[in-house]
Amino acid sequence: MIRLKNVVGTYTTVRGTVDALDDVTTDFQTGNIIGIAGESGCGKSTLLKLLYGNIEYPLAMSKGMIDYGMKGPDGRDITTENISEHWFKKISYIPQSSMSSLNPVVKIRKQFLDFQDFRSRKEIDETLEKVVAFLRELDLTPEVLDAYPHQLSGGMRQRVMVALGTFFQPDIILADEPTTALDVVVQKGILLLLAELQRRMKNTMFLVTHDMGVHYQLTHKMVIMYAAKIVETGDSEEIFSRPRHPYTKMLIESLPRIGDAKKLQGVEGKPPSLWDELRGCRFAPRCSRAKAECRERCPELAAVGNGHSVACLYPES
Amino acid sequence: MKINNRLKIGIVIVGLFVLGGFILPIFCTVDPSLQGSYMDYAPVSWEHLLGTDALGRDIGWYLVFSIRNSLILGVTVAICTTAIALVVGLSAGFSGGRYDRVMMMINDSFIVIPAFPILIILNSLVKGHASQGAIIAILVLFGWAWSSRTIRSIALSVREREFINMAWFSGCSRPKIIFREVFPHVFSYAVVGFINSILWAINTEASLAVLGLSSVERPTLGAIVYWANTYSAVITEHYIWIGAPILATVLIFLGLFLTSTGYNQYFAERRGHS
Amino acid sequence: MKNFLNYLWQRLLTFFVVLFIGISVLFLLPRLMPSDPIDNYLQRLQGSAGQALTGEQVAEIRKALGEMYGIQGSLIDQYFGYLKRVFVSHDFGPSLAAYPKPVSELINLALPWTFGLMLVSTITAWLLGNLVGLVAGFFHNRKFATVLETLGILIYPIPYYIFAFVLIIFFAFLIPAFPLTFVVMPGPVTFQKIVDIIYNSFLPALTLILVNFGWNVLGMKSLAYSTKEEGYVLYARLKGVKPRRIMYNYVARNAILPQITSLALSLGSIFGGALITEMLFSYPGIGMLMRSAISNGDYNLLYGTITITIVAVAISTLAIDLLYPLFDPRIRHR
Repeated sequence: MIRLKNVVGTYTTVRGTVDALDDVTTDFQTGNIIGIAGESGCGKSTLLKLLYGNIEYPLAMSKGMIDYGMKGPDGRDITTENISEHWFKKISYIPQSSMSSLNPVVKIRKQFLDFQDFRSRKEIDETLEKVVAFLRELDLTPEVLDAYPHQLSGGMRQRVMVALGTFFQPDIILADEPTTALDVVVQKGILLLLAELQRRMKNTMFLVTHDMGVHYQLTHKMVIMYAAKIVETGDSEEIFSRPRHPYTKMLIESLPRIGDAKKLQGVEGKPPSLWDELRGCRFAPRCSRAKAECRERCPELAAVGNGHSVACLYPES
Repeated sequence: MKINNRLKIGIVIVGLFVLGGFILPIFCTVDPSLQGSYMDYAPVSWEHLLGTDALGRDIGWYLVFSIRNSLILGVTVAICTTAIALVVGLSAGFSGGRYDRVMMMINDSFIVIPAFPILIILNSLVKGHASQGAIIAILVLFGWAWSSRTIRSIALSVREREFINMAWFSGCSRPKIIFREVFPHVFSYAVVGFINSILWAINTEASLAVLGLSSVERPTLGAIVYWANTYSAVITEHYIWIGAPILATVLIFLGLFLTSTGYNQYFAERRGHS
Repeated sequence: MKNFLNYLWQRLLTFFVVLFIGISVLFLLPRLMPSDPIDNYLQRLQGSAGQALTGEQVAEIRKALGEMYGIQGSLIDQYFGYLKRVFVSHDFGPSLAAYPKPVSELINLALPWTFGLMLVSTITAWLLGNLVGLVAGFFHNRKFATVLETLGILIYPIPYYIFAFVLIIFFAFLIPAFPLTFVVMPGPVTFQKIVDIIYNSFLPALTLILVNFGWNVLGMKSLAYSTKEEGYVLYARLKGVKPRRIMYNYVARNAILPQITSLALSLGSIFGGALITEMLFSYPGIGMLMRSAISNGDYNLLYGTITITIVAVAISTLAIDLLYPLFDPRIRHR
């Protein structure tokens, strides 16, 4: 179980400070693919940064704590402070753009080896053997090791990114829109590969994407975020079949369905600016069901049964 | 928007030199380049703030005129090189294709060819009396290419941006797009290039003059060092004679360079915020 | 391979364009002068030397000069004649001051000196400047980085001759540690002679190193700083790659590429600076030869040295351009 307790992620800017993640408390069950959805600026990437422990000025975790429920090889608990020592061994990251994430002037081989210092040629050879075996599992020929990034196709490069991110079999994988830059056919291959690897390794994979269709097909759990808050979490199936938050409903309705005669509903309106003083429910201004109370009182994330939680005063039934 | 310290210091230094170089000469009664106006090697006094040199010239006034002449030369060259750089850089960056490739090849060639020896040839052909115009012409011929290279790459990257396509599709003509849409982005780089051109031109001319390869009768920052060196100011311990122009040159170059990098930084910050 | 051939072809073409423009300017310059430089020259030669110039000699010199400037025949013929002299026969005629010694012989004696000075000082300044610039850019928010950058800013815009004078004043007068001018006895190469050469070349080399050091520091600093923001550097950091390895394998390996191009492009001005420095320190290279050619009114020698300068710059630029693919696999492969 990965637990977030009252986590606040604050950015310091010239205009002052702004909480891009505002008092988030939630539990993530390990061994699942957890989808994170929401519009740009909702706090998805801040959540990922905090989870990864990539916290650098101007971002700070100003309140709260994350309990990873994991111990390092030295037996100590992994915390936000020491998690960077376990990057890629215990928690890894798959970026969205493979072209700009690989060093263009260094062969792929070297980029598999620079995680650690080697004491002997033999150690390097042993590691390389493992890399080759692992690449084979991912349907990649070992020849990619001798290639420079520009010599590979977009799909191959993204497979290399997946291989880099999963090589050490980390307990947690953060995939930040891993397929946005790819064409649809290649996208599907990468996503299936991720799902397959997760099933084999039984690790926890956080998958951020705008594509609700991907969430529907791939994820076990969903986290819906809106304006720096989590507004709904639960089993994906449950969320897609019975969304309780009006915002979740709006997101799902933006999905096309076969045989759907109704004109597609875009997501109307804009989330509020985090610079403004926010009172009451942050979604209220866009919500068709908002009542007077919604503008006054901020709803907390509360369980509604079946492991499903929602932050809404008048959830959909 | 806060103006950074570099730009502030740079502008103050350059401003002082420009004011001093262009206002002070109004009060000057004796042509400072005339030899034998005063006693040789007069010490520092109220009459001669920096003393006089071996040829009876007031070092202070000579320096003031040198600064003015060097600045005029630098600005003239910079105006011409910046104009050429804008035309070449914008047209190449914006047209792309074969024209761009050919222009850049020529451009790079002008960067590579050393201007200094060519200026030496020019001067020796006219027995050390090259006119200011001829020197400016050569400096312009070999001075436009660096800025043009930068401007071209800016134009190239601006061209890829969305709003240019918008203007393109809405039927704007090519020159109009270049001037309305690209120029504002290129402007700041042109300013930086302009200041660097001033610096380069003054530097090159001064280097020629120091070696006695330019007409040293006209006071410039190089000529004054040439005279001091010719009369071995260091050995004869007339340190002011050689020290004052060196200090002035260092300050003026530093001022110009601080202005250009400071402006660059200022513009980068302003862009970052908008 | 196609990329590489394309690159090669473009570099070669640029090489020829440099030569073409440089040589053409040299060819055209005397023709654009209002007065005939040969008459000027002969007048001055007879005025200053006054002595034993027979009519025969004058005619010979006039012919040599005429050929050198190619004043006989049509403009096109003249041009090709000139090209042939420069590239095929390497014949710049006899030196007029050291008559009848051929100019090419004098140049051959001076060229290794200039080449040595340039090579040592340019490589030293480039390596040192890039290393300092890399550190300053990589640790841009540390205090020492600001100090290093300020150092670059203070050094870069200062002209060569100022450095030369300041170094002369400090190291040859105030603390007489190094000689003011270059004195190395001719003779066989011995250990002592090598020490002498290094000792005598120290100040001119230091002048060149200082100016180019400043330029490289500033260039590399801003490149390293912007490379640090690249996706692959961020990714490497998130991979847990050690900072020192990130600095060398990621930032330096990428940021050095534009610095190589910039070195190739600035060779011309570096060479110009070397000429100035040689003249000020009486270092026995091409610059010194040029200076004596000017003061003796030796046009053949002057044309020879200047032509060789342009050819040397073009060749060195091409050499660096050809080394570039070694550092950039994107040009080497596919």
